Amino acid sequence: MNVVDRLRDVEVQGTDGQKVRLGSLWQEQPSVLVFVRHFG
Amino acid sequence: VFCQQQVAQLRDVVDEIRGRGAELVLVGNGGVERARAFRDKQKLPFPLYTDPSLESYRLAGLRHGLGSLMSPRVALHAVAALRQGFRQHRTQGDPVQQGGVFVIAKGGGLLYQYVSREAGDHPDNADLLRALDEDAASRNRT
Repeated sequence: MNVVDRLRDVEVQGTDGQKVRLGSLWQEQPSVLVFVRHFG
Repeated sequence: VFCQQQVAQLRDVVDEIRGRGAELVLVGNGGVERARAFRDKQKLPFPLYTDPSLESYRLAGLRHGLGSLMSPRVALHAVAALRQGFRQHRTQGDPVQQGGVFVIAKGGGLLYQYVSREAGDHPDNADLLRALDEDAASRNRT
C-alpha cells in the first residue's frame, strides 16, 4: 500500500472544525499536500 | 520561525501551482482554534487543515520524536523546540513532529514526496512544480 492509499481515508479538520477526508483533496485536481511541523 | 519561513516560501509558489490546475493544501497538528489563529495571523492564501491526532503524519511516514535525531546539535534544537513549544501554546502542535510534502495526482497517484529531516528542511519549489509538469506531460502523451 503506498502512502497515498494509506492517507486517503484519514480525516482532518478544517479551520471551521468540519471533518474532511484527505482523499477528497485530490479527487478533483492534483494537490500539493504540505505537512507542517506546528503552527507558530 | 522555520514555519513562517516555509509559509513565505509556499506563498511564492501558490500561483504557479494553481496555474497548473493543482491546489496547495496545508496540514498542521495543533487544535482547531490554534489553526484558525495561525491562518488569520499569516493571512494564508490556501486551505489549512489540522490533525491533532497526528495519525496522518504517522501514516505518511513523517519523522517524530527525539530518537531519530542523532547529532547533538540537532538534538539541542529539538530540546529547545520542545521547551518553547510547551512554554508558548501546548495546542499549537507537537514540538518534535517533523513535516513533509507530497505531490499527488488527481485521483491519487504519488508524484513526489519529501520527508523533512529536521526543522527548516524543506523541498525546493522548483521540485514541486516539476512533479506537476511531468504529470501533465504524461497525461498529454496518453
